[in-house]
Amino acid sequence: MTQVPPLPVEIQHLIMSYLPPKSLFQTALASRQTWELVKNCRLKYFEELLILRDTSVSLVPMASGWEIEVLHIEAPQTLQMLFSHATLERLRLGSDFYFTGMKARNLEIDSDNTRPDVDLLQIFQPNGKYNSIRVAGLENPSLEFIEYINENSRGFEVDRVPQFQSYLGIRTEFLEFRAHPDEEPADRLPCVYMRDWVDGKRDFTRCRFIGWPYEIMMDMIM
Amino acid sequence: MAPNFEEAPGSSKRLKEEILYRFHSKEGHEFTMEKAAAELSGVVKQISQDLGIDDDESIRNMKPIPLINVSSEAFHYVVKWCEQHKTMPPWEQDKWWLNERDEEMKKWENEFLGGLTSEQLFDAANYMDIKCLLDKCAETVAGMIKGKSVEEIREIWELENDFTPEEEEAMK
Repeated sequence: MTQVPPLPVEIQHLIMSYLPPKSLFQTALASRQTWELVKNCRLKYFEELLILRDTSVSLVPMASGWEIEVLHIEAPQTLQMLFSHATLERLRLGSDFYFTGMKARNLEIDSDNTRPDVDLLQIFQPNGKYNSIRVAGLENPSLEFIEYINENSRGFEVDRVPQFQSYLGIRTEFLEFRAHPDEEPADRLPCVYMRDWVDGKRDFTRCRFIGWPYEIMMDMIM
Repeated sequence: MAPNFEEAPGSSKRLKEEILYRFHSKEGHEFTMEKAAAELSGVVKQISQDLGIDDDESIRNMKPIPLINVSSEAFHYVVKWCEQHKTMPPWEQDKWWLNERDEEMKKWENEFLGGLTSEQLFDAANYMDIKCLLDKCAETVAGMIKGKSVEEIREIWELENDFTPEEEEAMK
Protein backbone atom coordinates (compact mmCIF):
# COMPACT_ATOMS: atom_id res chain seq x y z
CA MET A 1 0.00 0.00 0.00
CA THR A 2 1.38 3.35 -0.85
CA GLN A 3 -1.51 5.53 0.14
CA VAL A 4 -4.10 5.17 2.80
CA PRO A 5 -7.60 4.88 1.40
CA PRO A 6 -10.39 6.95 2.91
CA LEU A 7 -11.43 5.11 6.00
CA PRO A 8 -13.99 5.52 8.74
CA VAL A 9 -12.83 7.46 11.75
CA GLU A 10 -12.79 4.46 14.02
CA ILE A 11 -10.46 2.67 11.62
CA GLN A 12 -8.21 5.67 11.46
CA HIS A 13 -8.13 5.61 15.24
CA LEU A 14 -7.12 1.99 15.06
CA ILE A 15 -4.22 2.91 12.83
CA MET A 16 -3.19 5.73 15.11
CA SER A 17 -3.22 3.41 18.05
CA TYR A 18 -0.27 1.58 16.56
CA LEU A 19 1.88 4.66 16.13
CA PRO A 20 4.71 5.47 18.50
CA PRO A 21 4.53 8.94 20.00
CA LYS A 22 6.79 10.74 17.58
CA SER A 23 4.94 9.47 14.54
CA LEU A 24 1.70 10.26 16.24
CA PHE A 25 2.73 13.84 16.73
CA GLN A 26 3.96 14.13 13.18
CA THR A 27 0.65 12.76 12.00
CA ALA A 28 -1.29 15.20 14.11
CA LEU A 29 0.61 18.07 12.60
CA ALA A 30 -0.32 17.06 9.08
CA SER A 31 -3.80 18.57 9.04
CA ARG A 32 -6.76 19.56 11.15
CA GLN A 33 -8.33 16.22 10.44
CA THR A 34 -5.39 14.24 11.76
CA TRP A 35 -5.05 16.62 14.66
CA GLU A 36 -8.55 15.69 15.74
CA LEU A 37 -7.88 12.03 15.12
CA VAL A 38 -4.80 11.96 17.23
CA LYS A 39 -6.44 13.97 19.92
CA ASN A 40 -9.06 11.32 20.40
CA CYS A 41 -7.22 8.09 19.99
CA ARG A 42 -5.96 5.59 22.49
CA LEU A 43 -2.28 5.04 22.55
CA LYS A 44 -2.04 1.33 22.19
CA TYR A 45 1.66 1.67 21.59
CA PHE A 46 2.23 2.73 25.16
CA GLU A 47 0.10 -0.03 26.47
CA GLU A 48 1.79 -2.67 24.39
CA LEU A 49 5.19 -1.47 25.29
CA LEU A 50 4.54 -1.89 28.94
CA ILE A 51 1.86 -4.51 28.77
CA LEU A 52 -0.37 -2.32 30.79
CA ARG A 53 -3.87 -3.55 31.03
CA ASP A 54 -5.75 -0.62 32.33
CA THR A 55 -3.75 2.40 31.42
CA SER A 56 -5.54 5.18 29.74
CA VAL A 57 -3.62 7.97 28.18
CA SER A 58 -4.65 10.45 25.57
CA LEU A 59 -2.96 13.17 23.69
CA VAL A 60 -4.04 16.69 24.31
CA PRO A 61 -2.74 19.05 21.70
CA MET A 62 -2.44 22.48 23.22
CA ALA A 63 -1.96 25.78 21.55
CA SER A 64 1.32 26.11 23.36
CA GLY A 65 2.56 22.62 22.66
CA TRP A 66 1.83 19.00 23.32
CA GLU A 67 0.62 17.35 26.40
CA ILE A 68 -0.19 13.82 27.23
CA GLU A 69 -2.94 13.55 29.70
CA VAL A 70 -2.49 10.50 31.81
CA LEU A 71 -5.87 9.46 32.99
CA HIS A 72 -4.94 6.36 34.80
CA ILE A 73 -1.82 4.34 35.22
CA GLU A 74 -1.51 0.99 36.78
CA ALA A 75 2.21 0.52 36.50
CA PRO A 76 4.76 3.13 37.44
CA GLN A 77 7.00 2.30 34.53
CA THR A 78 4.56 4.08 32.29
CA LEU A 79 5.75 7.46 33.34
CA GLN A 80 9.34 6.49 32.80
CA MET A 81 8.43 5.26 29.38
CA LEU A 82 6.51 8.40 28.57
CA PHE A 83 9.53 10.43 29.41
CA SER A 84 11.93 8.27 27.54
CA HIS A 85 9.85 8.36 24.40
CA ALA A 86 8.22 11.68 24.57
CA THR A 87 9.01 14.56 22.38
CA LEU A 88 6.57 16.47 24.43
CA GLU A 89 7.01 19.79 26.00
CA ARG A 90 5.49 18.62 29.17
CA LEU A 91 3.50 15.89 30.64
CA ARG A 92 0.32 16.52 32.51
CA LEU A 93 -1.24 14.14 34.89
CA GLY A 94 -4.94 13.68 34.78
CA SER A 95 -7.05 15.40 37.33
CA ASP A 96 -7.98 12.17 39.04
CA PHE A 97 -4.49 11.91 40.32
CA TYR A 98 -2.17 14.75 40.56
CA PHE A 99 0.32 16.00 42.96
CA THR A 100 0.56 19.69 42.98
CA GLY A 101 3.92 21.26 43.07
CA MET A 102 5.66 18.19 41.78
CA LYS A 103 4.06 18.30 38.43
CA ALA A 104 4.69 21.95 38.08
CA ARG A 105 8.32 21.33 37.62
CA ASN A 106 9.56 17.84 38.03
CA LEU A 107 7.16 16.42 35.58
CA GLU A 108 8.11 18.86 32.94
CA ILE A 109 10.57 17.75 30.40
CA ASP A 110 12.37 19.47 27.65
CA SER A 111 11.05 18.94 24.20
CA ASP A 112 14.26 17.20 23.22
CA ASN A 113 14.39 15.25 26.46
CA THR A 114 17.86 16.44 27.26
CA ARG A 115 17.28 16.96 30.92
CA PRO A 116 16.89 13.48 32.27
CA ASP A 117 18.28 14.29 35.66
CA VAL A 118 15.39 16.38 36.88
CA ASP A 119 12.61 14.51 35.38
CA LEU A 120 10.56 12.19 37.28
CA LEU A 121 8.90 11.85 40.57
CA GLN A 122 6.30 9.24 41.13
CA ILE A 123 4.07 8.65 44.05
CA PHE A 124 2.88 5.22 44.92
CA GLN A 125 0.32 3.87 47.19
CA PRO A 126 1.13 0.22 47.53
CA ASN A 127 -1.71 -1.19 49.48
CA GLY A 128 -3.70 1.63 50.95
CA LYS A 129 -1.86 1.53 54.22
CA TYR A 130 1.17 3.55 53.37
CA ASN A 131 2.76 5.46 50.60
CA SER A 132 5.99 5.41 48.77
CA ILE A 133 7.74 7.85 46.59
CA ARG A 134 10.01 6.70 43.89
CA VAL A 135 12.41 8.99 42.19
CA ALA A 136 13.69 7.61 38.96
CA GLY A 137 15.71 8.87 36.09
CA LEU A 138 18.22 10.64 38.25
CA GLU A 139 21.74 10.08 37.12
CA ASN A 140 22.82 12.36 39.87
CA PRO A 141 20.29 14.27 41.88
CA SER A 142 20.97 17.86 41.17
CA LEU A 143 21.05 20.38 43.95
CA GLU A 144 18.21 22.11 42.21
CA PHE A 145 16.14 18.99 42.42
CA ILE A 146 16.87 18.40 46.06
CA GLU A 147 16.07 21.96 46.89
CA TYR A 148 12.85 21.63 45.05
CA ILE A 149 11.90 18.52 46.99
CA ASN A 150 12.73 20.28 50.19
CA GLU A 151 10.66 23.27 49.28
CA ASN A 152 7.68 21.20 48.37
CA SER A 153 7.74 18.34 50.74
CA ARG A 154 6.65 20.10 53.90
CA GLY A 155 9.30 19.09 56.27
CA PHE A 156 11.16 16.39 54.46
CA GLU A 157 14.81 16.97 54.24
CA VAL A 158 16.73 15.68 51.32
CA ASP A 159 20.45 15.45 51.45
CA ARG A 160 22.77 14.60 48.71
CA VAL A 161 24.86 11.68 49.74
CA PRO A 162 27.76 10.03 47.96
CA GLN A 163 26.13 6.71 47.41
CA PHE A 164 22.90 7.89 46.02
CA GLN A 165 22.08 4.56 44.47
CA SER A 166 21.61 3.00 47.84
CA TYR A 167 20.59 5.85 50.02
CA LEU A 168 19.28 9.30 49.43
CA GLY A 169 18.84 10.31 53.00
CA ILE A 170 15.43 11.64 53.65
CA ARG A 171 14.56 10.98 57.21
CA THR A 172 11.64 11.78 59.32
CA GLU A 173 10.12 9.92 62.14
CA PHE A 174 8.24 7.70 59.76
CA LEU A 175 9.97 7.81 56.48
CA GLU A 176 13.18 7.37 54.74
CA PHE A 177 14.31 7.31 51.18
CA ARG A 178 16.46 4.56 49.95
CA ALA A 179 16.89 2.24 47.06
CA HIS A 180 14.47 -0.56 46.72
CA PRO A 181 16.31 -3.70 47.75
CA ASP A 182 14.56 -6.09 45.42
CA GLU A 183 14.07 -4.32 42.19
CA GLU A 184 16.43 -2.97 39.59
CA PRO A 185 15.03 -0.14 37.56
CA ALA A 186 14.65 -1.05 33.97
CA ASP A 187 16.96 1.64 32.74
CA ARG A 188 19.53 0.95 35.45
CA LEU A 189 19.42 4.51 36.64
CA PRO A 190 19.33 5.14 40.34
CA CYS A 191 15.98 4.52 41.76
CA VAL A 192 14.82 5.71 45.10
CA TYR A 193 11.94 4.60 47.18
CA MET A 194 10.48 6.15 50.21
CA ARG A 195 9.27 3.63 52.67
CA ASP A 196 7.57 4.06 55.91
CA TRP A 197 6.87 2.19 59.06
CA VAL A 198 3.87 -0.06 59.11
CA ASP A 199 2.96 -1.47 62.46
CA GLY A 200 6.45 -0.89 63.66
CA LYS A 201 8.05 -2.76 60.77
CA ARG A 202 9.73 -1.55 57.69
CA ASP A 203 8.26 -3.05 54.62
CA PHE A 204 9.05 -2.86 50.95
CA THR A 205 5.95 -3.97 49.26
CA ARG A 206 5.95 -3.68 45.54
CA CYS A 207 4.51 -0.30 44.79
CA ARG A 208 1.51 0.41 42.74
CA PHE A 209 1.00 3.84 41.35
CA ILE A 210 -2.45 5.22 41.75
CA GLY A 211 -1.69 8.89 41.85
CA TRP A 212 -2.30 9.75 45.41
CA PRO A 213 -3.12 13.42 45.71
CA TYR A 214 -0.07 15.05 47.09
CA GLU A 215 -1.73 17.11 49.76
CA ILE A 216 -3.66 14.17 51.14
CA MET A 217 -0.64 11.99 51.14
CA MET A 218 1.37 14.52 53.01
CA ASP A 219 -1.38 14.94 55.54
CA MET A 220 -1.43 11.22 56.07
CA ILE A 221 2.20 10.63 56.51
CA MET A 222 3.31 13.74 58.28
CA MET B 1 -0.82 -10.51 -12.06
CA ALA B 2 -4.48 -10.69 -11.09
CA PRO B 3 -5.47 -13.81 -9.17
CA ASN B 4 -7.23 -16.61 -10.99
CA PHE B 5 -10.50 -16.66 -9.13
CA GLU B 6 -11.56 -19.97 -10.62
CA GLU B 7 -8.70 -21.74 -8.85
CA ALA B 8 -8.46 -19.54 -5.81
CA PRO B 9 -8.96 -20.96 -2.33
CA GLY B 10 -12.35 -19.31 -2.19
CA SER B 11 -13.55 -20.37 -5.59
CA SER B 12 -16.78 -22.30 -5.78
CA LYS B 13 -14.95 -25.43 -7.01
CA ARG B 14 -14.48 -26.96 -3.62
CA LEU B 15 -15.24 -30.23 -2.00
CA LYS B 16 -18.89 -30.76 -1.37
CA GLU B 17 -18.24 -32.29 2.07
CA GLU B 18 -17.04 -29.05 3.52
CA ILE B 19 -19.50 -26.74 5.20
CA LEU B 20 -19.18 -23.72 3.00
CA TYR B 21 -20.69 -20.31 2.95
CA ARG B 22 -21.17 -18.87 -0.50
CA PHE B 23 -20.58 -15.25 -1.42
CA HIS B 24 -21.02 -13.01 -4.42
CA SER B 25 -18.40 -10.37 -4.92
CA LYS B 26 -19.06 -6.92 -6.29
CA GLU B 27 -18.29 -8.19 -9.79
CA GLY B 28 -20.60 -11.15 -9.40
CA HIS B 29 -17.97 -13.85 -8.93
CA GLU B 30 -19.05 -16.62 -6.64
CA PHE B 31 -16.73 -17.53 -3.79
CA THR B 32 -16.99 -20.01 -1.01
CA MET B 33 -15.46 -20.03 2.39
CA GLU B 34 -15.30 -22.77 4.94
CA LYS B 35 -17.61 -22.24 7.89
CA ALA B 36 -15.01 -21.63 10.57
CA ALA B 37 -13.15 -19.21 8.32
CA ALA B 38 -16.26 -17.35 7.20
CA GLU B 39 -17.44 -16.91 10.74
CA LEU B 40 -14.41 -14.78 11.49
CA SER B 41 -16.53 -12.15 9.79
CA GLY B 42 -18.90 -10.33 12.06
CA VAL B 43 -21.15 -9.65 9.10
CA VAL B 44 -21.45 -13.33 8.23
CA LYS B 45 -22.28 -14.19 11.80
CA GLN B 46 -24.86 -11.44 11.97
CA ILE B 47 -26.51 -12.44 8.72
CA SER B 48 -26.63 -16.05 9.80
CA GLN B 49 -28.17 -15.06 13.07
CA ASP B 50 -30.73 -12.81 11.41
CA LEU B 51 -31.71 -15.56 9.01
CA GLY B 52 -31.90 -18.17 11.72
CA ILE B 53 -29.08 -20.21 10.18
CA ASP B 54 -27.97 -22.41 13.00
CA ASP B 55 -26.96 -25.74 11.49
CA ASP B 56 -24.71 -27.02 8.76
CA GLU B 57 -27.53 -28.01 6.46
CA SER B 58 -28.95 -24.50 6.58
CA ILE B 59 -25.58 -23.13 5.61
CA ARG B 60 -25.39 -25.50 2.66
CA ASN B 61 -28.82 -24.40 1.51
CA MET B 62 -28.16 -20.73 2.03
CA LYS B 63 -28.10 -18.43 -0.95
CA PRO B 64 -24.82 -16.66 -1.66
CA ILE B 65 -24.28 -13.65 0.56
CA PRO B 66 -23.96 -10.60 -1.69
CA LEU B 67 -20.93 -8.50 -0.77
CA ILE B 68 -21.64 -5.53 -2.94
CA ASN B 69 -18.75 -3.51 -1.58
CA VAL B 70 -16.09 -6.20 -1.81
CA SER B 71 -14.21 -6.74 -5.04
CA SER B 72 -13.26 -10.19 -6.24
CA GLU B 73 -9.60 -9.37 -5.84
CA ALA B 74 -10.04 -8.20 -2.25
CA PHE B 75 -12.24 -11.16 -1.42
CA HIS B 76 -9.65 -13.53 -2.78
CA TYR B 77 -7.24 -12.23 -0.14
CA VAL B 78 -9.90 -12.16 2.53
CA VAL B 79 -10.52 -15.85 1.96
CA LYS B 80 -6.84 -16.62 2.21
CA TRP B 81 -6.59 -14.69 5.45
CA CYS B 82 -9.63 -16.29 7.00
CA GLU B 83 -8.60 -19.80 6.04
CA GLN B 84 -5.27 -19.20 7.70
CA HIS B 85 -6.87 -17.85 10.86
CA LYS B 86 -9.89 -20.10 11.21
CA THR B 87 -8.43 -22.04 14.13
CA MET B 88 -7.37 -18.97 16.06
CA PRO B 89 -9.20 -18.19 19.32
CA PRO B 90 -11.98 -15.62 18.99
CA TRP B 91 -10.73 -12.08 18.62
CA GLU B 92 -10.78 -10.11 21.84
CA GLN B 93 -11.55 -6.52 21.05
CA ASP B 94 -10.97 -5.10 24.49
CA LYS B 95 -8.48 -7.61 25.84
CA TRP B 96 -6.17 -7.16 22.91
CA TRP B 97 -3.23 -8.80 24.62
CA LEU B 98 -5.03 -12.12 24.32
CA ASN B 99 -4.78 -11.88 20.55
CA GLU B 100 -1.09 -12.54 20.47
CA ARG B 101 -0.09 -14.75 17.53
CA ASP B 102 2.80 -17.14 17.52
CA GLU B 103 5.91 -16.32 15.54
CA GLU B 104 4.97 -18.51 12.63
CA MET B 105 1.61 -16.79 12.25
CA LYS B 106 3.17 -13.35 12.60
CA LYS B 107 5.61 -14.20 9.84
CA TRP B 108 2.80 -15.42 7.62
CA GLU B 109 0.75 -12.29 8.27
CA ASN B 110 3.64 -9.97 7.55
CA GLU B 111 4.47 -11.72 4.33
CA PHE B 112 0.83 -11.81 3.35
CA LEU B 113 0.16 -8.13 3.88
CA GLY B 114 3.63 -6.99 2.94
CA GLY B 115 3.18 -8.25 -0.58
CA LEU B 116 -0.20 -6.70 -1.10
CA THR B 117 -0.86 -3.68 -3.20
CA SER B 118 -4.61 -3.81 -2.80
CA GLU B 119 -5.99 -0.97 -0.76
CA GLN B 120 -9.36 -2.63 -1.07
CA LEU B 121 -8.40 -5.21 1.49
CA PHE B 122 -8.73 -2.71 4.30
CA ASP B 123 -12.17 -1.76 3.09
CA ALA B 124 -13.16 -5.39 2.75
CA ALA B 125 -11.99 -6.22 6.25
CA ASN B 126 -13.94 -3.28 7.53
CA TYR B 127 -17.05 -4.04 5.52
CA MET B 128 -17.02 -7.70 6.54
CA ASP B 129 -16.06 -6.84 10.08
CA ILE B 130 -13.10 -9.20 10.28
CA LYS B 131 -11.43 -7.87 13.38
CA CYS B 132 -8.14 -9.72 13.17
CA LEU B 133 -7.58 -8.65 9.56
CA LEU B 134 -8.67 -5.12 10.26
CA ASP B 135 -6.27 -4.88 13.15
CA LYS B 136 -3.39 -6.23 11.10
CA CYS B 137 -4.19 -3.82 8.26
CA ALA B 138 -4.13 -0.97 10.75
CA GLU B 139 -0.78 -2.10 12.06
CA THR B 140 0.53 -2.33 8.52
CA VAL B 141 -0.64 1.15 7.63
CA ALA B 142 0.83 2.48 10.85
CA GLY B 143 4.10 0.92 9.77
CA MET B 144 3.95 3.04 6.64
CA ILE B 145 3.71 6.17 8.72
CA LYS B 146 6.37 5.42 11.29
CA GLY B 147 9.43 7.55 10.93
CA LYS B 148 7.92 9.75 8.23
CA SER B 149 8.05 13.52 8.21
CA VAL B 150 4.91 15.62 8.34
CA GLU B 151 5.18 16.24 4.61
CA GLU B 152 5.56 12.56 3.84
CA ILE B 153 2.58 11.76 6.03
CA ARG B 154 0.50 14.29 4.13
CA GLU B 155 1.45 12.52 0.94
CA ILE B 156 0.55 9.09 2.26
CA TRP B 157 -2.79 10.24 3.60
CA GLU B 158 -3.41 12.61 0.71
CA LEU B 159 -3.86 15.49 3.09
CA GLU B 160 -3.65 19.18 2.57
CA ASN B 161 -2.05 21.37 5.14
CA ASP B 162 -5.02 23.38 6.30
CA PHE B 163 -3.42 25.00 9.31
CA THR B 164 -2.96 28.72 9.26
CA PRO B 165 0.62 29.98 9.47
CA GLU B 166 -0.16 31.27 12.96
CA GLU B 167 -1.36 27.86 14.07
CA GLU B 168 1.68 26.18 12.61
CA GLU B 169 3.89 28.59 14.45
CA ALA B 170 2.07 27.92 17.71
CA MET B 171 2.55 24.18 17.29
CA LYS B 172 6.27 24.38 16.86
